[in-house]
Amino acid sequence: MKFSINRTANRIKQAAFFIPFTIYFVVFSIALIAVYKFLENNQQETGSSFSDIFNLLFTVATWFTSVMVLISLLSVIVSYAHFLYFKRKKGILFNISTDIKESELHLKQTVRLIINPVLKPLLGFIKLRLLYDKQHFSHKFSLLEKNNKKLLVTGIEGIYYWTLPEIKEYHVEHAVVYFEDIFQFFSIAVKLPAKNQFFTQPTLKELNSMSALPRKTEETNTRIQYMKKVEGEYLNYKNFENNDDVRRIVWKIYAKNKELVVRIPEIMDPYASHVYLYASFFSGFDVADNSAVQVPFLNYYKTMIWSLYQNFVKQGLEVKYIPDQEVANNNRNDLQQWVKYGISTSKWHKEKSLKSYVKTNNASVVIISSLSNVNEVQELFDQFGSTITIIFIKLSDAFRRQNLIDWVQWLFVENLKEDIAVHKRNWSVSTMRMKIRENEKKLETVVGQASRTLG
Amino acid sequence: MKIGRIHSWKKVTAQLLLLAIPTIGLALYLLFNANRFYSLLQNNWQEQGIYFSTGIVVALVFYGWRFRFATTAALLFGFYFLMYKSLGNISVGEFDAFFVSVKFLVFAILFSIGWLAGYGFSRSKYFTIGWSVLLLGLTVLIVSKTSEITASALIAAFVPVLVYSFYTIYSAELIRNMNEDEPNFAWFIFKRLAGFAALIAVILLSMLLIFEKDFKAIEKDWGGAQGGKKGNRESMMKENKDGSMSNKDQMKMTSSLSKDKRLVFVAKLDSYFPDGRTPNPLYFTSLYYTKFDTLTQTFETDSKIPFNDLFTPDPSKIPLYFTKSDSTIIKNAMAPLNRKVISADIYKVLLSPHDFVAPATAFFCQPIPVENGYKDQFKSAYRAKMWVSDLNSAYFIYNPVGNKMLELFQEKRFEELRKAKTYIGVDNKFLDYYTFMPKNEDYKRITELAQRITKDAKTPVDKMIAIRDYFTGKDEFGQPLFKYSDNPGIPGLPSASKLNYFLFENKKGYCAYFAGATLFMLRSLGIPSRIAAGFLTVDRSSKNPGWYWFYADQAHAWVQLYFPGYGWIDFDTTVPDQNTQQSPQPDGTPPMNMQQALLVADGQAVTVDTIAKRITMKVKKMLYHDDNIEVLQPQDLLLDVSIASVTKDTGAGKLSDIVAGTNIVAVSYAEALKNILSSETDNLSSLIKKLPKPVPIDELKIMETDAQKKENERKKEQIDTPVNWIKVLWMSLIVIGAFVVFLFALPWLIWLYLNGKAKQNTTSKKKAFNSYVAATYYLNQLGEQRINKSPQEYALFIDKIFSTNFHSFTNIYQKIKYSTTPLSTNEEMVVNSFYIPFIKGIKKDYRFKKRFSSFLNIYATMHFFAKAKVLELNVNN
Repeated sequence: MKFSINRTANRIKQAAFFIPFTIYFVVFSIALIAVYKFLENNQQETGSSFSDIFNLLFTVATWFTSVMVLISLLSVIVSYAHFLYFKRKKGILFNISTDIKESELHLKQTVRLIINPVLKPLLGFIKLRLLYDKQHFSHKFSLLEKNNKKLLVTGIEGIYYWTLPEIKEYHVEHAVVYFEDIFQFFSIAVKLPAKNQFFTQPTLKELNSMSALPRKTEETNTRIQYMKKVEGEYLNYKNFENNDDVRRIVWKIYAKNKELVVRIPEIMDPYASHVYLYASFFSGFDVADNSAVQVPFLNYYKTMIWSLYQNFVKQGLEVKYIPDQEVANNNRNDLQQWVKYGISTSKWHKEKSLKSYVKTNNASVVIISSLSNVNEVQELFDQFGSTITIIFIKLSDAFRRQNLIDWVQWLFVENLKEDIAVHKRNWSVSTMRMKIRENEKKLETVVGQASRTLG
Repeated sequence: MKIGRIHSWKKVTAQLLLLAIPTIGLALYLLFNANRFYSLLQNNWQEQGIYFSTGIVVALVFYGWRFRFATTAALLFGFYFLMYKSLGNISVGEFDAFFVSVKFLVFAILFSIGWLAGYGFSRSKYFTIGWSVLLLGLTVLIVSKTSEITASALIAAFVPVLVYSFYTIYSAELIRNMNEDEPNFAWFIFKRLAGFAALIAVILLSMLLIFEKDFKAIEKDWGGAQGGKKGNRESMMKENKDGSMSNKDQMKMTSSLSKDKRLVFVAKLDSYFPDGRTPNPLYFTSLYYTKFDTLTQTFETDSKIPFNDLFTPDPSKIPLYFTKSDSTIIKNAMAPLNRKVISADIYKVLLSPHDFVAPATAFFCQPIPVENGYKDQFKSAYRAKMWVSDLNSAYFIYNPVGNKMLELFQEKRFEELRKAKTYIGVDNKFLDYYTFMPKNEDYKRITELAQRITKDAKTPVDKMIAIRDYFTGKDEFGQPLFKYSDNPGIPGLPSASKLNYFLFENKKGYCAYFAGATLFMLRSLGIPSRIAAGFLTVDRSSKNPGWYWFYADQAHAWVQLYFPGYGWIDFDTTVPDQNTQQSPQPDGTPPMNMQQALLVADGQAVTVDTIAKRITMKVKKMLYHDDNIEVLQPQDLLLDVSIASVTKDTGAGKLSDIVAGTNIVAVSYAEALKNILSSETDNLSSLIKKLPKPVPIDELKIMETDAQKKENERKKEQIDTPVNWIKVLWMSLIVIGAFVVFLFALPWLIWLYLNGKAKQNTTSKKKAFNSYVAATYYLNQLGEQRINKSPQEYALFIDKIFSTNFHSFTNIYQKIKYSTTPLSTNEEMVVNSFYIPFIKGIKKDYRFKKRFSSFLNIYATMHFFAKAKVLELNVNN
């Protein structure tokens, strides 16, 4: 029921995009009517200089206003008609893509858009709005164009820094092109199909250097501090090399296939090359409806995972990120990008518990969240606490705690108008809050001894 | 504590430049005007402007950070309160405290308005709309109340606000919408604003062109071209459209009186003291204000006054030398005592031809011609006769203000007037009318004051003296109680009575205030009185006794009291202006009229021969040797106008102004007529037979009917308009437009030149050069620029696209350029046959539209001529 109301509201909102005038115009009209009434009350009987001048000025003002508004309207209609004509007859080139270079440079999701041909209304604007993920839509924005020295602009191309609330993959399905006039009183919209998907990237947080031990040997080039038991088919044999003890040659094998193989005793392997990084998105709670958990917590968790990953990479370790959910195989050749993508597209889930996810024989780092199951963590910690680094991310740290100075500041300073405030409010009244906080505390006591809680 | 920003500094700068500065400009303009109206502001518009500007600038900068409005504004008000409290403690003395607190209040209000506007511009999307529309509405209201009704003043007052309103909406939106990441922020804004300015200029000019007529019409109606039918200028005079001046038929009490020192008219007054030599000046009356409109606080004339003794002929409608008189005026003056008939000749300079001014009580008007030598200075003249009271000598009327001689002299008059009978027996209608007074608290206060200051006075004249002395009295510090001021300021609340404000608070004013206050005090005491408007007469001429010069600043208002038997007697209660020194105007030579008109004929022109200078007129009225000739039937009379001077009531005219049907008056001073006498029995036709044919005429006056006058005015307007500023603006717009067109046509014009040169037949060397330049220019303009390519590469590239033979030509061209080897015949052929097919080859690949738009691109042209530099740079790189 709630869902359908939301959907209807959303539909109404989307339909409102196509209202050909703006609230600005409504306010303008109301102001005009109010002033008209006010002036009407102040009108006097004819036959005085006042009424004559008054009428003339009133007429001039009315005409002037009408002409201005009419020009605005006409300019918009002309551009709109031009656009429609080309759309019907020849087709419009509309292209949307992610400008990765710009995105990374400015750490902002940057969308590059091209529309051609399109005629800007006289001294007006062309604005866009992107519809994504079925029911969401972006703000109305105008493109950041390269300085165009052409006089007759018949197309626009530019970028848009899109601040998106969630770290995840987005699918843009439509774009709405608005033709707006000089005063932005009128805004005629055209919907264009668009196809673009991209993911927003987790930001990087500076962390203290974390220690982790590689436990998986893919290449034997890194010596590790302690021996690890090495398994495998050829565990007790190896090809003969110089300096090998000749007495250990297995002659039986040589007799069979002329290969010199030496028997070696089962030893602890001093080499491990890779740090396998596990990050569990498993949730022991029902968090599907909790917006705070779904958005800011998830964002925070992803940011932390990515930061940790980078932290290890920067230490020179070979880090391998093992996702606990399926990641599309589209960026395999750029490992970092693939990890980023994998982290970005992850969601809370209930399928793969910590136990079934973490391979204890090669895991070096396991990242758990406040939503993880305490018992499972306890178990893991008891068994491998000394070899596996378990890092606990306290999700409630996503919200900064309030203190007195904040309240004083709040009195005089407006906060950024962000969704985070809404989530914060939701969180503070959520029934889940106590449970998760309790879980957090327990996890803290479990992991806390190793002081590997991050927040 | 880090406080984030809402707007970047870039944006705040844009707001300051684009919103704050125009708003401050407008505010200064409004404050400047407000200071003229409200004395409370104490003429400090610059300082007040600074308060406002500080408010708006500080708020814009402050709210660029994320500060909340409610709490910060509350802090501000708390600060105001503390300041106010502490000010009360610091200042000593009640007056000081009041003065300082008023000043502080002005500061607080203006600063807050600025602050609020700054906040609105910074934060609220919709504030600008409300602000603009409200401002526009208020301006319509305020400008409508203006006293300065000329088309240009109205436009000047209204248009800036109109433009500002839309400008603010536009630029606020522009700033709000602009992308802060935009690299060429300033250029973007500039481009947009220039476009907007152009658009608004075009619309505004068109609107003004359309409505110009209406503005002019208003100026004509209310600025007062109708010879004083309507009129609203807050001056004792008003200027008519034709440049002449009249007294106004309404007298408002407004904030300021505009005065100037232009000569309005000159009069010769045949009034002397009994010694027969000393001139006895008289105030000149134009009209009487007998009614007071409480709503608009305006004194008005009334055409239905009982016992009307105001003679209002229109001298321009009376033919020269003919007379108009009204004997009922003398009857209605109800003044048998101390009266005699006096005549005056009035020569008009700026005074409207329709106006009639003369000392009270005039009953006779006769237009007279102006001597030839003076025609440039004086437009028309008339003689007036008045039934003048001995007691109305200007020396009796002047407010003596301590001049003992004058007081002593005036005592004579008061003695006489004390003998006047009471008002018993005077017509009740008359009494009721002239003692009428509106009733409310305000007027009650005036009544109380009047009763207080006249409590010791018995007779009406003593009461009058008491009131006059009240105005000239001094306060406990020896300072005058009332001061003269052309700029008295109006009370803060529009409904408050201006007279009360004048009498009890401000105590500053000009004649309208003194006369108005006196009038109500007199009426409240039951003394019939009215306000007379006209001219204060000053005897300044020692050379020409009896001649008086009247300047615009002599326009005046005073009161008249009715004394049974003596009639209306003038009193002037206005205190002299102490600040401005009366600057004595050097009086010129008076226009003496020596000639005697022997024949005056009034009628219509039948035929006009401008070459032979003959006019046949149908005579309807005739004066001959000062005798009125009986006209049985209009007769034709042939006139010789070769030496006649033609005049109109607005000044000199031309013979060609007279056409068949024009009403004219012909005057002759000719010696030839001196000895032709008319007999008693002569009528018009018999007299005409005696006269020479044609009759020599010295003076021709065109009597225009209203319809003709209007037509003439229209014609005149058409001639006058070349200095029309709207046209000038249009012209400049056209020039700018032409320049823009030229700029865009420049690439094409250059192309025409180069193309023409390339097609010329000259030596192959020159031909090759011209062809090469033209070809590369053409390619460059079409977008195929040679960037980072050697000529050969470029030529090959072009050949590939257009399948031309540019490469082979380029080779030859390079050879010509760099070697001295002469061309072979084959090569010469290539040079000569290259150009035209090449251009054609390129042309076919571009549609006309593309070529057209490419040739508008001035940047490409610039690139072409700057290319050497670019290439050089590339090489260096």
